[in-house]
Amino acid sequence: MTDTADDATLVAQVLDGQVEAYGPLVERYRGRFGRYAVGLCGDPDLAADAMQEAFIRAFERLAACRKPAEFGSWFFRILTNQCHNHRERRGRQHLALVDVHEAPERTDGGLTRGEIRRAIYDAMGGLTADLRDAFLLRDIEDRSYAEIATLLEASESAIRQRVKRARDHMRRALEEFA
Amino acid sequence: MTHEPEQLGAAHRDLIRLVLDDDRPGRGVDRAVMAVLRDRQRARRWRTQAWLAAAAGLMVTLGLGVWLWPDGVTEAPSGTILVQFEFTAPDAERVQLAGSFTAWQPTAEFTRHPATGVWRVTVPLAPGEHEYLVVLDGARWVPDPAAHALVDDGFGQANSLIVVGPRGVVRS
Repeated sequence: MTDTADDATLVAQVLDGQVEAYGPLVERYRGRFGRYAVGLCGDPDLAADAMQEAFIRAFERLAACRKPAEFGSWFFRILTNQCHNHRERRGRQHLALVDVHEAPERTDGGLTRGEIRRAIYDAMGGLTADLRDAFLLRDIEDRSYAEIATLLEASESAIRQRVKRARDHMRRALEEFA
Repeated sequence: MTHEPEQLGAAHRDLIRLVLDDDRPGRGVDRAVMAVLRDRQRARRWRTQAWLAAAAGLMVTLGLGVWLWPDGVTEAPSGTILVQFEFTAPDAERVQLAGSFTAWQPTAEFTRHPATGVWRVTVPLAPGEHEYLVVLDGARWVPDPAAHALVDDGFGQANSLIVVGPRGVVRS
């Protein structure tokens, strides 16, 4: 077992009872989807919780992963559901949490990093779940419309509409940071 | 040709990515996940071992223990003698033994010899007289034609009687 083994090999090893083979998969997709998870959850701690639960659920259902070579895509759906669940459970409490760890570091515009950060989370928090999903997948994850449509089980035109509305909202919300 | 909605703007997009990148879950997630999975694996192994041990104990304690007592191979519990009962019932699906030594519960299961079709069960009995009956298919209680004697059960029926001496079954 090595960290560079492909997904299919690692999945096969885990299904064969080698729990440690799951470690490289966790590290790989924690890094790859971490930004997306934070965006969906709107809070770093919530994202960490959601990711942790998503990895454990994926492990429990690994035998149901029909295409082990595409573990990432399969896990992505589980992660998305977990992030939605966690966010719904927590509501908008993230706003208070985000500020707790901020250092009052000034930027050129006179705003602290914390203020910018909070503005971004606030802006994303103002999006409905549908708009936020589409926006994050398109503009943060660089997914194609076809991919997003498949992932979110909607038509491509519907996804384009969502992305447009989300961008309009984000542009207005972050106007002062242009 | 499909239309791309007006772009967000590179500055905004980069800013959002920067913030989200900074806040990405760290290695603590890896450690937490693997710790949970290792714990579960350990717990599962422990449960499996405990279950196997319990199952083995149950086999020895209950009826299966009787199967493990072929004549002359295993010593009987202290103060008892192993006695083998044989019964011919070619049409029976299940044959059990109940008697004064089992509080009249049909807990001793006969097994059918695959070649002869004869049902056999071996039980430890203390020296003395014991009444018993054979239970066919869980419903019919019948006396043993090979018994030493038949005795009145006090309800108008007969029980089989076996006499066990200190050196084994007493043949009449």
